This record gives sequence, C-alpha cells and structure tokens, in this order.
Amino acid sequence: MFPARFLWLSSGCLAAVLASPASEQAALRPGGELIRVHATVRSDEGRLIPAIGADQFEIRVDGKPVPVASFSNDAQALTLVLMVDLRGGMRDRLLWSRDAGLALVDALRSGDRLRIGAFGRESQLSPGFTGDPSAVRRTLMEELWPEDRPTFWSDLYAGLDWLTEESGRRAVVAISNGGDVDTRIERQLTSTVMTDALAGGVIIYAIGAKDKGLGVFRPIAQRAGGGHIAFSDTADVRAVMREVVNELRLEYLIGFVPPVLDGRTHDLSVRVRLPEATAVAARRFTAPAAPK
Amino acid sequence: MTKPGACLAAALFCAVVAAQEVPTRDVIVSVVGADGKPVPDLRPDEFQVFVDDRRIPVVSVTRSDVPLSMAAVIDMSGSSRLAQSRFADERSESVVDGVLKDATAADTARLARVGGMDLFISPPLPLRTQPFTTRISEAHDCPVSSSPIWDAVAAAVHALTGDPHRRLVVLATDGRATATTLSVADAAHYALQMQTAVSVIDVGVSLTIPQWNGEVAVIERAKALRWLAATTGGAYIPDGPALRVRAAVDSYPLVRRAIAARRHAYSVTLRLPAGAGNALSVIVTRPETTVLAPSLLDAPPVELSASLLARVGDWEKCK
Repeated sequence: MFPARFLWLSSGCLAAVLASPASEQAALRPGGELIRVHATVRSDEGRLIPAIGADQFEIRVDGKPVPVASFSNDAQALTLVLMVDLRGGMRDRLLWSRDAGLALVDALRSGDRLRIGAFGRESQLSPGFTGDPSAVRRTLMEELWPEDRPTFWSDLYAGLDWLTEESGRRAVVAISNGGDVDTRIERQLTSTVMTDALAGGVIIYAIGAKDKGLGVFRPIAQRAGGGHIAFSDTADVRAVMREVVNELRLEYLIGFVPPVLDGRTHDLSVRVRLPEATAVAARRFTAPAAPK
Repeated sequence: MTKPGACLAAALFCAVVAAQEVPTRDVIVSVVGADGKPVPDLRPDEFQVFVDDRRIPVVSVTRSDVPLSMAAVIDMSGSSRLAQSRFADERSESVVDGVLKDATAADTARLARVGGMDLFISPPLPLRTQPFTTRISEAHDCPVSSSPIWDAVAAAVHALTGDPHRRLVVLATDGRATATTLSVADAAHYALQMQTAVSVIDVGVSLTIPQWNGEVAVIERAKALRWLAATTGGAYIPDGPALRVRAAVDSYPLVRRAIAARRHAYSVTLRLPAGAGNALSVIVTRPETTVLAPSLLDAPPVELSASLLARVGDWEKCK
C-alpha cells in the first residue's frame, strides 16, 4: 500500500492557485487542503500527448468523481538527481550506464539542474546541483567507480533527500536493474523511500537495460506515478533519454480537494477523456487530517 | 628589447645587454637514483632542459637542503577505508610516520583528510606522532559518502601558501575521486601556480571490467594520480598491494623518499628566450636517475571558489 505522490498546499498557499479559474472550487472549501497530482498522458502507441485541457481530465477518489481544482501543463525547469547503479549486477553495464547518463545530460535544457548520485559505497558523486553540463559530464566520465556494496534503497533515499529543498519539477532518475526486497530492512527502506517520495512530490523514474529488467523498481516507480523504461541495446540511447526528459517535462499538474480530511490513504484514479489515451498518475494518496 | 640595428655599432655591448634582458626562471628539480634516494652530486652540465622541445640554456644549478612546509592529505573515504578501517588507520599512521621521521625543527606539517564534503585541514602540528594519530582516530566516524580528492588537494595547497618553506603535499589515496568541484587538472594547475609539488602514495588498484557488448571498461584511476604528481614535480609511488591483500603495507619508507626528494632538490636557473613556450621537460644525463620536475613553466590560472573555501575548516572530530 503506497499513498499517492502529492504536494501539499497549505491554506496560506492557496492564493497562488486561485489565479486559475479552475481553482475556485478549492477556495469554496474553507480550511481545505489542495492536493496536486502529477500525470502524463500517453497514446496507445506510447506517445506522449501534450496540450490537453483541464476539462479532459477526470479525477476519482475512492471511485467517486471530484472536481479539478487547479491545473497546469506549463513546462517547468527540471531539477533531477541521476542515480547510477555501480553495484555488482550492473558492472557489465558500466559504460552503458555512463553513456545513458551523458545522453540524459544532452537532453536537458538551459534552466534545468542535475546532480549525480550512485548506488554504492559513496553515493554522492556530484557536490551539488548544477546547471553546468560540462561539470556533470566530467563527473560521469571521471567519477563512476564500480562498487560491491549491496545498497539500493538507502542510496535512493539519499537521492530523494537531496531534492527536499529544491524547486522545479523534481525527479530521481535511476539507471539500475532494481534493488532487492529480501530482508525486513530492505522492505522497510522501500516503504520509507516510497512514502517520502510521494509526500515530497518527487518523481522516481526507473531506467534499465531490457535484458536486465528493472525488478521491483518498476512497480514502485509506477505506483508513485513516475515512469520506467527498459530499452534494448539496439535502441538509440539519445532518443530514449530525450523521451524520458520530455516525459518528465510534459507532466500535467492537477489539483483537487480531498472529499474527506481523515489522514488516511485513499484510492485515486486519474483518467483522460480522450480515445486511445491513458493517463499515468499516482493511484493512491493520503488525505490530510482535519484541523483540530 | 634592444633593436638589432643599434647593436651594429657596439656588438659586444649589445650582446651583454641582450643576455641580461632575457628573463631567467628558477625551477625546482628533484633527482632520485635507482635506490629512490636523492642524487646529491649532479653537475650543471648533466642537466638538459627543454621547453616545448626546444633546448633552453641552464644558467646555474644549485642544491641546498631546505626546510619543508608539508601537508599530508589522507584519503579516509569509503572506498579507501574498505571494510577494515583498522588497516586504513594503520596506513594513515604509516604515512604520518614517513612525514615525521626525517622532519627538521624548521619544517611545518599539517594533516588533511578526504572523506565527505567538508575539507578538514589542521594547522601546523607539533612534529610528534601523537597529535597526528589522535586526529586520525578522530576521523573514525566521519562521513564516507564522497571523496573530493582534487578539492582537498587544492585546499591543502591553499593552506600551505602562508607557510614559509618549500612546499609539498603528500597525498595518500586510491584515486577514486567523487563529488569534486575541481578536476584533477584544476588541482594540479593550482599547485603549480602556488609552487607546490604533490607527491602521491597510490593505495588503489586498477580494474578491467568486461562489458556486455565485448568492450572492456578500464577503471584506471592511477592515470590521474600519476599525472598529478608528474605535472607538479612530485613523486608517484604505487602502493597497490596494500589494497590487494587488504592489509596495511608500511608506506613510510615510500613517503620518506618523496619528502627527501623534495627537500634535497636542485634549483635550476633557466634563461628563457622570447616565445620559449610552456611545456617543460628536464633530463639528467646520468644513468639510472629519475627526474621530478614541473611539466609546465606557467600553469593556467585557477582560482578557488568561495564555496570551496567555505568548506575548509580546522580539523574537527566528526560527530
């Protein structure tokens, strides 16, 4: 059970939302809390569909429709953590991972920022976020060292943590074959990572090689409303990374007011009223508790 | 510059003036023999100096034993520490032993560590083992999540600029740099700029890793370390077995050699003709000698950012 990725807007922050007409219903709910959910829309062929209006979206909470209270599809600057898996299972993909990372850097635009992390003993590969592509490229070319330390979830958590104070559309993009959930600690860490990602409104995007797969990483990214892709060796890695970045950038940000303020997790459904199109978004969210 | 035409009338005088106008430059050159010890008795005519492959006249060669201002920069990060931190501590102490063994009363020595984003550099410490080993043991619980080696080298060089003597950084590391804001080239050029040699005790091993498509990923961290030492006129001393057998190898004779080479170095004065270039190469004709000299006359300017310097602090016990 994982709650949906949401972004809190306290009552004091509603003013910003009120600027859009769609947010009027939120304003009618005194003391209400707005929840914003990130969504992407793909055609049946897997193509991203941009420029869909708010009226094309349908939100249901526990099966019941709720109105769209705020809506945005503005392209936002990206603030990304790129995590590269340097553990044993990805050793024979070291160069592949590096090249995928470089292709991701090439796909970024001015205003985007990136920080590199690793699944390994030393999880911190970049000193901080930077918008300087040359600095990131140097890190990828010079500072990827294979590791044996079998950590995954704690390093992923570190990546999330770096984004806590950052702005923009935030995501952890991980090149990996997924982590293990064999031990109790690993299961706990998985849960913590999910909870914090969802609570913080940070996307987790899993990227892997087709022959290795993504393991449990895939459903976790999916449940969080993030994305995943495992591509073959024959694929054009630069094109794949452009698509990933587009996907991160082309998200819709849809706000709604939860029908009840009970502090509990609820089912969430985001659909789009377009033929042959599917919205990908978080499937659960935790409603705030009612003020005492 | 004297005009050639004006010299026709007084050729001899002009020749003297021209010779005086050609700038000279002193270069610190260490020369060690096959046994790793400094070679003490070289004559000026045994030095050949080239700048951009052009032979440059050597004006004079002097040798004097001088005090050193040293910083031992020890990599205590996760990759260097391995699972057995006891061995890592022993190795760190061994490096310190090497620094202190032949220290003279006039020398100064600092201790710096790599591990985590903070760059801890001690003030000059009393030249006894205990102040150093105490600090090494204090680093037990320090963060190991990154190895900003090049930042630490530059910060150590920066700290030494206020110290009075011929400067040397002794870096003990596996070369697996992470989270650096400076490149190895930046660190080397900054050291050159500040006339500081960086001698490297390389405690790492290189790897080759077969890749899925038949390629081989070469994890060649030694190349950067070797280049850092060669560029700054320091010694590169591989101590890879320390890591391979997962046991401490006594680094201290190696460190002693690196320090002795710097202390007993020659000062070679060159006469640099106009447009002489920048790439420096020093050859000593005596057989079985190794020359340690900077590889550039002038390094590209490197300024340390305020954000990097803000990370530098006195040695503190990690919490």
